[in-house]
Amino acid sequence: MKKNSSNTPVIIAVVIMLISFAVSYFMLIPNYRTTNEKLALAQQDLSTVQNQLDALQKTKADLDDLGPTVDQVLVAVPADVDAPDFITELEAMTAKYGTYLPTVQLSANANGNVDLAFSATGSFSDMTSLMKSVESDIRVMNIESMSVSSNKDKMTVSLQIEAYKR
Amino acid sequence: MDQNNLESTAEPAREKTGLDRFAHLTPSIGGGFSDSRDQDISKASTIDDLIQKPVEPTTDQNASTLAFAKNRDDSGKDKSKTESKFPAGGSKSASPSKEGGKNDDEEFMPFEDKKSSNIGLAFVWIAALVAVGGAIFFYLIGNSAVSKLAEVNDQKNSVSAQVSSSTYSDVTAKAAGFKAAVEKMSQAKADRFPMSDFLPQIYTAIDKNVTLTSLSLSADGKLSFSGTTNSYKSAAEQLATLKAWQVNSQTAFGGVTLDSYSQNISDKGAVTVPFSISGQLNKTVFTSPVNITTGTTATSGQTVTTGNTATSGGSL
Repeated sequence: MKKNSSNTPVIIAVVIMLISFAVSYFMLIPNYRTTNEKLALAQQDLSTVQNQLDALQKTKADLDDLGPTVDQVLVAVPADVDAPDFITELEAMTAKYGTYLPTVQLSANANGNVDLAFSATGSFSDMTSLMKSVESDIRVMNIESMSVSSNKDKMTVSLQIEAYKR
Repeated sequence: MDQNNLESTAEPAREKTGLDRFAHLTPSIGGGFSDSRDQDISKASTIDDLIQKPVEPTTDQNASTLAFAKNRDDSGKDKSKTESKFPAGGSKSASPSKEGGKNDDEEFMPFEDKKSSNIGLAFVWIAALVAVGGAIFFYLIGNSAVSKLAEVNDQKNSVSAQVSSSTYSDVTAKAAGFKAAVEKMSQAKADRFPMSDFLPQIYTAIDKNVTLTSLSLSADGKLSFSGTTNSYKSAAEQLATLKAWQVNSQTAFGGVTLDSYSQNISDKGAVTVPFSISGQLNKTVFTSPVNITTGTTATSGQTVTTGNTATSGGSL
């Protein structure tokens, strides 16, 4: 009876020690490792997202620095060519130089842009001015081909234009 | 009789006192005591006499008494006086004491055992405390990691919300559109042939006695020229003029040929010679006056506002 009672503290201490070891080894340490792995992944994701945000902020700052140029460029090369608007714009352009549009034809080309064919009649200077207007329009357009027929004071110009879109 | 037996037999006697206890011992001792000792007991007239006898066991422990008896040799000499005070090799020997206290087995020897066992116990408890401390440590750093993970996740969610917000989604779309537009403008600049500049220049290359009937320039640079003049010689001179035509100090036409010509004489005797010339235009000589603007600042200079500055931002 005496020996048993004197061993009780030892047994209690050993039990506490074993329980502590078991809890640490089987629960706390694995949990800590798992949490640390998740933390590393989360930090990596955070870094990636933070980099994206930094890039976006820099992009926004760059666009802000460019100011109205960005909008001008976006208008110059529109996402799509709206046919009615485009024809109306051309008509206004030709009317400005006293010419008119007998024919207009729109079609998509292989470059992803829009081909526009039209003819106009007027004086030589008017036709030259018209071509200059086309080339200097806010929309980016190139005159691909030209056909001129002259009849005394009047000349008829047929132009094939490529209008760029993004 | 070994020590254990001594203890077992001594246990019940501890609770007894006085003569009753002694009287109980007397018959059980048997030959352990000398006859003279039995006689002394029988001669005792009072309890005091009995207690005052030096050879009589006064201890309240039967074990001590028995040990005392055992340690006495036949001659009555007390061996325990020398052996019990200096026990050798941890051997257990019971020795009586006059004061009737505990014997040496319980007081002296267990002291060393307790000392060593106390140290061992302390080590065990220290180990247990270290284990508990370790568990608490892992619990705390685990909790810290969990809270840090939650914090990082919160930050990530916050930043993700900002990235996916309408502000930055618009920025992304705008930047992508801007980049595509700039690329298209660069392509347009490379492809552009300044037709508005070409037309007046080609007119300068037409001789005065030649009337232009039609002129066509295809996208690949093939030029067809038709006109009328008044003689074959004039038609030939026009051919020579076009062959020699230079733009920006470079020959503009290559492979110029007189495709057809004829002579018509009217009723009034007027001679007309219609002819046609074809050739390949070198478009590159016309590239210098190219203007591509955004429309608002169209000038005759070489300002090309293709928005190339926008590409300076690497993120675009």
